[in-house]
Amino acid sequence: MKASPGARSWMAAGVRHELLTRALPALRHEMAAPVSVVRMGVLLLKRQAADPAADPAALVERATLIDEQVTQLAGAIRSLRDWELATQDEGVTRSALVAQCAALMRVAFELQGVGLRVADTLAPRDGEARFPSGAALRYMVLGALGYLHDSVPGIGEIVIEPDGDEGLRFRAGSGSAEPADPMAGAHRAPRALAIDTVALQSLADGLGYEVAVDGAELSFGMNPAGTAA
Amino acid sequence: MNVLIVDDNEAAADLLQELLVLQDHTARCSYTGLQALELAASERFDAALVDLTLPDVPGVEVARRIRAGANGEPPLLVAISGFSAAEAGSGAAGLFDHHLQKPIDFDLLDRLLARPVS
Repeated sequence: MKASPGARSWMAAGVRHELLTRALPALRHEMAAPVSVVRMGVLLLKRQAADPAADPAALVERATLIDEQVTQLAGAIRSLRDWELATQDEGVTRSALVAQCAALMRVAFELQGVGLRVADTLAPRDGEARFPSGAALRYMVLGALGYLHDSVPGIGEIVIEPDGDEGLRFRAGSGSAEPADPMAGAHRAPRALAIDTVALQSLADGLGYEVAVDGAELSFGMNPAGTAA
Repeated sequence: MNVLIVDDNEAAADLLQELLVLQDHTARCSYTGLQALELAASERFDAALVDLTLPDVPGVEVARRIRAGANGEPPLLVAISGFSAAEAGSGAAGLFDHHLQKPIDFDLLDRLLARPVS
């Protein structure tokens, strides 16, 4: 049986699902911290408020802390929409895209013994171009990171750098520094659904981007194929 | 129990300290891995609650050094993280006595800290 265009779309959707599954712990991690503080803050606030001799200023200070954490939590919940392909967006700059994805995945990768390093040349700058379809580009970045993580033996670091004016390049290496945790990743469980070249290509085809893989390095353009400026 | 709290989220560490003191424990906070190691070297703790993701030294390494440097029985080592034990990787496995996922289950923490002090 030959794969139909529908089958290819399902494959791309499956890869996006796998990437989102991998990002979920990090997304949840962003919410767990403020929730944790709110819970403890409310417990203590209730106790303080029940004390007739409570200092009103201390109560306000506690409530302010809780309010700040709720604001942080609301932001984290709002950011979930960034992963919905159907959501209309105003596009995303290259630096913002990389900063968001690296910040989200850094801890999860470090726990696996893989450092994420963003080139200084990807720092935000005035007048930066915006690229359409931010959600699709986020999946492409996650796909690139996942591919290198799953495919490069002995990986210790991924460097993200610009590729021309409208592309991104990802290079995997062993890392320059001694790992702080020498056991990290030593017994990394094999992925049941590894992001291999076929999966990465399916993702790129499904989202409409051109990706080039060369060993421990890959790159893609941030404009959909055929629309590059 | 005398508890060492290691968490770079200062608000979380301070609040947990307050809650532990209300439970009749004594507790010290450190906001970095290095600060935690200095405290552990200078004071005897019965338990250490260690966030796995610290900015300077990974929580796993902090726990490993606390265990290695213990004079006598090491403190009860409890990993605290927004990630589950499985997501945290194998580095933490076998090193920590327990893994608590944020938001912390305080009933479970109470039970863990109710262990008799040696």
